[in-house]
Amino acid sequence: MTQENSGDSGAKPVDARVARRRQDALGRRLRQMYDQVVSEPVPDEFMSFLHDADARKPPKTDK
Amino acid sequence: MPGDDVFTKDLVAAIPHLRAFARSLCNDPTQADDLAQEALAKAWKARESFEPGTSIKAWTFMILRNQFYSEKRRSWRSTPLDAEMAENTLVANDDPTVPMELLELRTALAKLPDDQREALILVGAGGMAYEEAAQVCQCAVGTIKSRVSRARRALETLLSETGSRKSHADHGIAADKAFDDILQQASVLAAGGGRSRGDD
Repeated sequence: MTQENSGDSGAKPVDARVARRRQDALGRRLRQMYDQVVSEPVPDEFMSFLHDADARKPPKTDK
Repeated sequence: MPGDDVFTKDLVAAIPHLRAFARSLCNDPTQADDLAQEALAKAWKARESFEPGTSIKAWTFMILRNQFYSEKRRSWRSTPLDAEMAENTLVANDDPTVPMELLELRTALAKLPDDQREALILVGAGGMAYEEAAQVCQCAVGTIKSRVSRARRALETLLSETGSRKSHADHGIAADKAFDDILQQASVLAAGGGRSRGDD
């Protein structure tokens, strides 16, 4: 007896699917928000830091 | 030439993600970039402590997160921001280039407790594995999982409230009602199913 109410077993998967879709919609919005920043060009300051950092690179960095 | 070793390359590749994570913590873009740059500088200085083969993203995120919370504790420079400021921004939004949906989302996120927000950002927005997110937050994987699912539920409730408050139009109410129905059905499913759903 795996199914107690096989009569309306058709309804349940549909509801679950709707609930899942709602979650998917939220996930999509969250990813959009995040990806929007990821896809922005990185401001120059970040890269100039790397030049400074490289100049100050400690001598023993063989690896 | 800068950026000619693997570590530096990987660090540079992580910058856009660091910025996105910082933005989700601070909301204010300028403050977020300051935070990301400070984290980058720290990561560079601590490069000897990075274990090759592990996730540089998780490592830099952990540094950024520690930086964020220690600054937050030290000064209150980022405290009043969150919920209240985000709400004001939402109300005063007349910049057509910023989608209302995004502002709503940021406002709702700002209302979540810090630990829930960051878990949802890392996993739900940044696509991090639970294990990586746990590494970033320095907590158990199970803790991250439960934070993510609590955050998701809270956010869905907040967003449905925003939706109904914002619009008295029929479709707004209908959507809210539909959402209530879905929630109800979901809880019936959860209660009757006897099996916890796989939370991805």
